[in-house]
Amino acid sequence: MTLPPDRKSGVSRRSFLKGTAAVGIVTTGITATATSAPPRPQSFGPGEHEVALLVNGKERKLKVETRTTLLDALRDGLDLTGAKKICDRGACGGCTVLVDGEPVNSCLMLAMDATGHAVQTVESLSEGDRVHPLVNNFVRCDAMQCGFCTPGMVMSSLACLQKRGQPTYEQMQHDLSGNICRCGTYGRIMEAIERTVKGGGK
Amino acid sequence: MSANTPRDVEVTVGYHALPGLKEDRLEKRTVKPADGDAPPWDANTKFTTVGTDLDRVDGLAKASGRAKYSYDMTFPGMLQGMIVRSTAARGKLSGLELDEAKAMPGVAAVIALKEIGNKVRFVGDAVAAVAASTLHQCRDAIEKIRATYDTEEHNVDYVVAEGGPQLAANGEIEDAWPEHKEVEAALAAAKVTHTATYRTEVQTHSCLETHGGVAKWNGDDLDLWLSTQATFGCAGGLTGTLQAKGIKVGALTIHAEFIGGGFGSKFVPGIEGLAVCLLAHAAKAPVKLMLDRFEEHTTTGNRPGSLAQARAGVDGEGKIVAWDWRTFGHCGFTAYDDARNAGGNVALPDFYSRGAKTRGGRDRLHKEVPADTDPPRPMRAPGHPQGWFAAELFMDELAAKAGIEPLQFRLKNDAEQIRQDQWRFAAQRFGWDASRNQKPEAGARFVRGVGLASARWGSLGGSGKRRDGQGQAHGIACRINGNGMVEVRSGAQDIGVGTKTVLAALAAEELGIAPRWVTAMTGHTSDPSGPASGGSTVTPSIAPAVRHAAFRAKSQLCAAVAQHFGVDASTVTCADGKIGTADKQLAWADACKLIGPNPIDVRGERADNYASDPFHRSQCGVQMAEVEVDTWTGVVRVLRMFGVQDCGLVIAKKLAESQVLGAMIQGVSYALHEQRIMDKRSGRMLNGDFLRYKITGPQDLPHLSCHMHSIANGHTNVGAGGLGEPPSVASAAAIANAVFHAIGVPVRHLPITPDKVLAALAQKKG
Amino acid sequence: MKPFTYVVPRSLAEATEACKQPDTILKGAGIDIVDRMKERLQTPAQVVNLLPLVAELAGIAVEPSGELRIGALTTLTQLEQHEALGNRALAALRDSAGMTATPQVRNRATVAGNILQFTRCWYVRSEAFRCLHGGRGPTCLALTGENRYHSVMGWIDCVRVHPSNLAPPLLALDAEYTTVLGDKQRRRKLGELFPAEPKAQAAEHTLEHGEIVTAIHIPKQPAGARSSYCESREKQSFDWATTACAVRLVLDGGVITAANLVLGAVSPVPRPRPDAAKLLVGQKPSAELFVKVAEAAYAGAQPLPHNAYKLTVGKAIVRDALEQAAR
Repeated sequence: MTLPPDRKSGVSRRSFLKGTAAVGIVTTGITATATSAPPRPQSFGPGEHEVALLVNGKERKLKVETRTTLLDALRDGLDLTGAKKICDRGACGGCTVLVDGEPVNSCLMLAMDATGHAVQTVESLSEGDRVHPLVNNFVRCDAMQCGFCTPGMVMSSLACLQKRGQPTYEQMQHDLSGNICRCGTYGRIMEAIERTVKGGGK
Repeated sequence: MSANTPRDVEVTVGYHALPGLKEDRLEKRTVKPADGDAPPWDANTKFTTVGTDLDRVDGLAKASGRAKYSYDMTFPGMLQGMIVRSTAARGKLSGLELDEAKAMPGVAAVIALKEIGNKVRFVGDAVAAVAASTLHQCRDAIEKIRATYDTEEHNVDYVVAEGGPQLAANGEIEDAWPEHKEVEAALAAAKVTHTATYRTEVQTHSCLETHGGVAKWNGDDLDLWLSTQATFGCAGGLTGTLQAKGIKVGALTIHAEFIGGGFGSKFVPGIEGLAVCLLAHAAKAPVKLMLDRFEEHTTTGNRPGSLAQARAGVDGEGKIVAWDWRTFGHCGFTAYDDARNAGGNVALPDFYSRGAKTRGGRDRLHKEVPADTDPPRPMRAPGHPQGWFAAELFMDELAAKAGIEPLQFRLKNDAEQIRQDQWRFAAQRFGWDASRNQKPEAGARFVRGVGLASARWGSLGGSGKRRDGQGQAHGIACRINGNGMVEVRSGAQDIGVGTKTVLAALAAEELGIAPRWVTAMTGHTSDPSGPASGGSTVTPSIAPAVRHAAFRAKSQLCAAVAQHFGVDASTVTCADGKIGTADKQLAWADACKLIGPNPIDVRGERADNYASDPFHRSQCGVQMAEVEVDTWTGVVRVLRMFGVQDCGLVIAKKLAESQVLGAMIQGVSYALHEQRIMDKRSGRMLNGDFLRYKITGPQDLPHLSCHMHSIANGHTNVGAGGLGEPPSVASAAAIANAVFHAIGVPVRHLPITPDKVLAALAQKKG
Repeated sequence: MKPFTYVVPRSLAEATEACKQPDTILKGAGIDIVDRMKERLQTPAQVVNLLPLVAELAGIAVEPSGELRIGALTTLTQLEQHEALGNRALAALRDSAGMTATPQVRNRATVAGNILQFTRCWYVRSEAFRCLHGGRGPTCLALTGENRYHSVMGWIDCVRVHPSNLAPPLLALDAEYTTVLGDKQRRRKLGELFPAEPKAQAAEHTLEHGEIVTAIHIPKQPAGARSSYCESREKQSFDWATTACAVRLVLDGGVITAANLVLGAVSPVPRPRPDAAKLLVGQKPSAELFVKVAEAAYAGAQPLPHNAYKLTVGKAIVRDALEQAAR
């Protein structure tokens, strides 16, 4: 988990330290009391329990086990199947989602560790008729073939754009280095990023 | 264009001169279209939609993450499935205890996939399967399954496998060549001879969407969302297998609208396809069973490893006069059962040796070498990348020995006119001569080199009609609705090449309307039968059927307009969004209103190929690559690649280019990074993940460009070619040749990893 | 993964207390641990999550002494991008953080987690194999099996390699680490975190059960210090290093007055090579000198049947690291 500097989305360090609604873990009201016994930490599981995840700007309640990954929570719990299970070991980036604006492998993140953070999936980039220019540019540049790596690529590309504004070719390669494409669409993905920088896709 | 089929049509086949070259290669043919078929397109046809930069029609579904693959399907009450697999590489199943697993929480079904006494043939052989509410519960249950084996000694090392050749320490095959007097005499008489052995390792398909699916029974009917590249083949196969197991099957419908890669491994339902149907039947609930990454690497087939040894000779003019090969495929356990057809073929070019003494087709020396591993499945141009690597590197070595430059050596020995043009064009575009003549500084750490290779693919979509296993001809459904929207449907699948877009583009072109009026659907076996995505035959097979369907639909619409205007139907044309005569026309939307509430619904089929000679019978291409080698660390980086690829008629230009560029990247990966590594003692794959099974990534990306060589071949009303495989043939070979040029010694073993480069450099020094 | 109770402490004290329960492990981001739990190599009954303790355990601060304090839960991205590392003295640490794994991993993986992570030997990391280091078998399987990515020096009865990119540069920079065990806090030189005798039965690190790394400290670097980190790989995009080298040189008037050299990915623990580094002291940087040092760095290596190439490649990487630091 990153403690991000102030960002437009997600939880800021200040509010986290203040212990506000940032701590999205469902609590049962356990508070530390001023007794001599050491305070007992909260514990969850091993069975299913309900958590609240902030996904694409909305609070979503769902049941997870402690061993449920964020990827499984999104796909099986919330039917957000854009993020894919390809290697399930953090080696291919197919499960990439943004957490507090940063790309992460959701397959290596416990769903519980995502509580209190803003999770953004590829589905957030197209709602009704509104489609993010980056997504339109993926189509325009034919930056996909079978399409299975594409959602992860879109999210890593989005993060690249948001972080860098006008990435160089090397920076794009660097920011996509955690995503594998078996069909060989890397070049066109970078063209799509570039086209977005130049204002295309609107 | 009118809606009538002409009788004899003169067409122009061939191609206009490639850029920078002078000669057009155009010829005339007379073809006889089948009754009711769309008249042929040819080299002079002017298109509105075909050949343009149109977008992939399902691109938005994919890029928005809304596309649902088999892996994404979910239903109320759906269970998860998982397969139990053998840890023994070879032996017999001696015990299988399932009862404890059946009692585990959440478990709905546990089935045996082998019986006691059945053979296990490799680590990963499926033994049983479990369905439970969650994958975790499946795994928990599997831990309670006790499978025991009577094991036998196994071998997963092809170097010492049964029936394999003897390899010397330097990698050369030592066995004596079987006698062939003609070849030997030609070798003896040759001015320069050369012999060498080439080796490739096993490559896995590594589909990103693993194999598997979701099965949902409804009484005796079964809906199966299967990650497959052969919807009808699998539907037929599974129906038969289930019935043989005593399960009543009514209608079995396969759904595969989106597939996350196949590359040849998804023609068959596999044990996972069968298991998910059995589990769903036993549990009386929908089941999802998708393989995990390790299973994907180890149980769904592969491109077999290979050995190939050549001996050849050239005369004083540099013409090849003797050309002899023996090849071995590294084939998995099926080669124990069948030593000739276990899927390990090594394809070799035959066009360099047309004037030479060879062993001849029937006497071709090839052997399938078995081991206790997962057998091969066809993988993108089966036999070709490995065979072409050997043959093209051998060509460069032979050329070097004879003091001939590699491009000149090809021009001298490759009589195919199309490739002659392609060699010259590519050389110009790539700057071949300048790069070839660059000399590195003595002792330079980084050295560069360039290499080339041919591509040849034998299929132009087959000849004539294809019928699926059920005796039904492949077809295309075309529907024109009263609101002007057109639907084109094929029950075959789009594995990512853009089949849907091809359907839409061809229909739009034939109907004379903009593509936005057309929607396309693929992948449901409730739609007309279509071919498997194999042999790069889907596009050439269905393209003529699309035209036929659209042509027929157009005829009906023209007839309705003719009636509306009170004129003869033969005077009505449909083009540029307007239907009518010279004097009176309706816009497309208005014409369609005449259809009324019942849409025009027709079916098209592919007619037999035209009887006249096509322009050519195989697809040609060439590729060139430039590499930079770090002589200190042995790391090879591909800097740039260029390919020119014959693809028949270019239908969707961007998508066609994507196939070529994608094939090139797979070629980089095959040449430099990928190999299956086995632990000999256990018979288990050690790198069955994406950490150490290395697939080329964005930072390894060369600069890639390609030229689509559109050739009207005159064999159907469209004349399309396939593109899945042809460009795959050349890439690794061109890279291997570039490495040879860069370091001055050949690396004859793929993948060209740093250790091999360093060994070659050390050998050169010593 | 097997089912587990997930403990969410609000303080280090709560975390340490929770570790007293049987069958309990600590977890940072979990990049390594979640992977191993999915393989069922780790099947704890209880997992103590350290992530809620970011307030005290993450972040980079420059102390008044000039020392850099890096919280244990600082991510690799935070480390790489922090302005305090934007100088030549700390380049090795910055660069190694920036080339570890992938952007997605770096955004979550912690500094402590990177240093403490379990080796990536393909035998010990698969539940199908039982080897000595994994505590489930009698021998080292890689020693007599496939060992192209394994150790070439300093191995005893297990040929694993240490997987951390950060450890060699941290050692080269004379880093120290602080741990908390119960109410006891200790600060030691980083070298003490790795077993002196990296036998099969030794863990990757020397922490006691329940001992929590809280911070890494980088002392104020000598004036004129420059560091660098280089590694060799088989592919450029996301690959594990086949060899690595971190160096720190102190230059004064064009002469090297002090040098540290640490090898990575070639030994069960990160390998300082003081005898090789000594050859640099008092010398002016030169290509010939670097060749000599590279030879010395790999002197006495014991390669395995499949990894002799690491000697050639490793020496090239040493030369590259030296050249980069001396530039």
